[in-house]
Amino acid sequence: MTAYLIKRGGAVVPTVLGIVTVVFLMVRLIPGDPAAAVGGETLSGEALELLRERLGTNGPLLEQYWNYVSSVAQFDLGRSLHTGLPVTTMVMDALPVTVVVGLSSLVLGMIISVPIGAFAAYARSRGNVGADSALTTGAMIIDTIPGFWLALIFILFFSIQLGWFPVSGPIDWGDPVHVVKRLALPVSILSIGQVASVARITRTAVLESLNDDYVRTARALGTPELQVLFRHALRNSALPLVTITGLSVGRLIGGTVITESIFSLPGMGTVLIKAIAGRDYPVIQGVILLFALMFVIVNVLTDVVYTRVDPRVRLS
Amino acid sequence: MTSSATLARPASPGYGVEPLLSVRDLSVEFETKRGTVKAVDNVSFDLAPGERLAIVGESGSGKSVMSMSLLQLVTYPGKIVSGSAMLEGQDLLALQGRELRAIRGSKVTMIFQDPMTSLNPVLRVIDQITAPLKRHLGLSQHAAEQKALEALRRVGIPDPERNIRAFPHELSGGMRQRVLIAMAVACEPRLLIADEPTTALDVTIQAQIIELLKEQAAALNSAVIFVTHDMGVVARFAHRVGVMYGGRLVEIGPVEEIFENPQHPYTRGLLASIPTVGGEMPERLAQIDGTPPDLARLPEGCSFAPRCDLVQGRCRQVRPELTRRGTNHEAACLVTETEPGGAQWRQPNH
Amino acid sequence: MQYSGAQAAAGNPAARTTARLPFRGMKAFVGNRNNLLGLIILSPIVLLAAVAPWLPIPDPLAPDIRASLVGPSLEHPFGTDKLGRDIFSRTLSGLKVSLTVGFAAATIALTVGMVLGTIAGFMGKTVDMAVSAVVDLFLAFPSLLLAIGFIAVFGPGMWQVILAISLSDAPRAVRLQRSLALSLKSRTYIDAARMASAPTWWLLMKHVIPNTIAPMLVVASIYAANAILAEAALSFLGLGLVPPEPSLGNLVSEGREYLREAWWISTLPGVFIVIVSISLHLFSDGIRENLDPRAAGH
Repeated sequence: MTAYLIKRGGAVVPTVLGIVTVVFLMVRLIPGDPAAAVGGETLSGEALELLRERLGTNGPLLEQYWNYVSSVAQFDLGRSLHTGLPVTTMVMDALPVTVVVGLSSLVLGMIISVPIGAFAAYARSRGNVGADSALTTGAMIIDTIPGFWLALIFILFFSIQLGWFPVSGPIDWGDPVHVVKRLALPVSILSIGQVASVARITRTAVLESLNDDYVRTARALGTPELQVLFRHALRNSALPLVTITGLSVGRLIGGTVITESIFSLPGMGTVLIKAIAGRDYPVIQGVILLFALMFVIVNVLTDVVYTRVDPRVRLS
Repeated sequence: MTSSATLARPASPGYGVEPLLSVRDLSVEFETKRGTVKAVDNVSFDLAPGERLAIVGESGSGKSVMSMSLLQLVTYPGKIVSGSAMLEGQDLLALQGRELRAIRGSKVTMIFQDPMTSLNPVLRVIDQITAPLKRHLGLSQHAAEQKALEALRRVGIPDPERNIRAFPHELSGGMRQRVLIAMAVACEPRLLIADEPTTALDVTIQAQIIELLKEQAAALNSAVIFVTHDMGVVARFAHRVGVMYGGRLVEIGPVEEIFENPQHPYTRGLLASIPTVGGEMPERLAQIDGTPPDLARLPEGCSFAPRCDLVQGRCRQVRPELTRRGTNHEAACLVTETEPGGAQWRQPNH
Repeated sequence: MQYSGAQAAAGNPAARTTARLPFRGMKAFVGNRNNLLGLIILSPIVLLAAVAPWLPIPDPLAPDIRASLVGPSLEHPFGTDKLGRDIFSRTLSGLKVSLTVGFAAATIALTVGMVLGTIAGFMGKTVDMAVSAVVDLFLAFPSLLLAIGFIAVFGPGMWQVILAISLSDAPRAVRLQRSLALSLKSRTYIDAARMASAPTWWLLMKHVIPNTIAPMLVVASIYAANAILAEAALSFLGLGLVPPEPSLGNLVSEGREYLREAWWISTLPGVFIVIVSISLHLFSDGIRENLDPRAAGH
């Protein structure tokens, strides 16, 4: 296992280096002089030079690259052009909100969508096409609803009409009831975003498993149908489920940016949007880098989980 | 036919005893795009306690569907449309929910064709074999484990303490079939249904598995319904044989009767393919000219008529019913029923 | 089906893959209910968006202070915004923008995908490795993040948004086309054509493009739907099209401040995003079912 982890971790190095390179190039791709673009045309020569230095766009390109990579390797992502705060600090302050919201919606999404998919498959295998179609069509429609629009509808209904959930204001982490109320809507919106794809994959995989011989064996031995569905068919559908969970995280990261902005949560998405509005490139780079790295880590974890859920998958 | 005396087969548990299982008018249909397929058509038979009945026929004859329907394992789009199967006062086909599950895996168990796919690949053997023991016998985890080990030992699994912790893919095909047999006999069933349990195995292992099944069934005095397309297996295993064709039971009787005096032309065709009974098992089923019938479009009269040597005009109009041909021997053929000459048959070259 | 169905479904994976590929040309686009339904929903919407400037409805950009924040009525079916602009005309106008962005982005992603994917599949190992490395690198970023990053560099605007969105879909398209091309490459009729020393371009035109266009269009219509959602999301974040030009995302975003007093500004234009997206998904599902009847049966 350890050897496998080292090997799998090693395979990640080129990807990470590629990501760092793309993020490095971002600023250099800005049309014209990045410093002028950030500071405006009126900036004097000296101020311009200072800005270049803070953006890291002074000196030859290779030297810039080397400087960037070595500072990233030391967890130094530069400083915000506006506040002068280290980007690492800003990102780390915002990270907990994003991770809490993201993880809870991932878990909630699974809890909702896996049973939906499993029951749709079960209905289908029993010839109940109507129930299956209803669930499948429902999932497709949900898939096509933009999260931010649904968020506004939810706010309209649950917050403005019913007054159940606050949608702005700081998060008081010391008060669990408040935290749940404050995060309920964003987490729901993000988990609904997962439902369609996860339910669909679950349905396809479980439907295939339900046709397998061991399901018949289980039934022949008197296994209750719920166990047939969840212990036998669903467990054998774990691989596609793990894959889709990994992919969901990519969507989730995109969704977080929007959701945090709507519900004014002080997470990484909010930091990113503010930074883009203010052309605060070191912050933009830092957030994108961190999000991309999170995605890479999730993909590695997916591979590791593979070997855990299916004994037939060999570590190699 | 000379070989029946060498079959080393115990006498049938006897006739006239109260049957363990009574199947009457069992019909199973499949709804398909091409119309309703009658996979099993009005099948009736009895089975005595401890008796071993072989059901033979080509693929598509309905033998597997028939055997699975006894535990209501035929699922959508298949449907049991009529019939009863009385086992010790209970109708297996009418049971539902909890009652049905209480029978499955305890009183009646089943072994399937392909051991490679019949065990759940993500669960260890121990979890799969102890689950029914805990469920049906109410055993604790420890007691179930002990009983499971004992069952594995009985079916000849080497080093059961180690192998019980294995995943199915770590075992060979023969070993997996042994595990499946252990699972089937662990709860000491009254009736064991085996659906072509040896078809997917190596020829050398086939014989061992058949011996094992026979031995286990005899030890527990379990009745067995053994579905196969292999007449050679029938001879060494069964007390009685039922022949299915086009969803119907066309002949049923004691093994020696069927082998020496088959009454249905189809049975004769099946037998003609066996070089020596009880010797080498044939690699494949009889070469009977023509193809199995299309179950969605069965002919009006006898479904075997298009392939039959003895066919007469009335065979195409009247559907033959099972009629008595000897002690406990019945066949459904209009020609051999009425023509004394037709009833006489000797296997060629014997 | 437990009995024969189990065997039919479990057996013969080869039959499955061969059934998927050699579907040629237009056969995949006809005779499917979902397909048709998608088109039936989509066509009038596209038409409505196209002819909107000539319809007897208010100018989407003309303010009318007397009609500020009027709820839905006969005169203003979707109500008006703070400046008294008619939301229905603005929705139609935004629809046109969104559809343009969606189809342009999908077309670019599809074209890039087919060209680079075929090149990677057919041009040998070095090219393949280079293309695949770039594709993998872009796929390492969550897709909306890639689009956001692009906007952060090149600024908001119609073309930036189109390019940003196609940038996040193109790698997926390349990967799919590459795998389709690779599986075609090993087919006998390609070998036969090779042995008859057919020129490569002929091979590609005659065999590869017709055999891959249908599966590629399945994903392209999903890309179009996603692009419309992505445009809306970017505009909503203020990273998309620059107001006053309305896009559906802008409209939803503008209404956010007035959610309390004028719910119609945000909600009604959003309905159109959903409808367009559903019809594109139906269209895509229809082609997919035609390509792979096995999947449809389930």
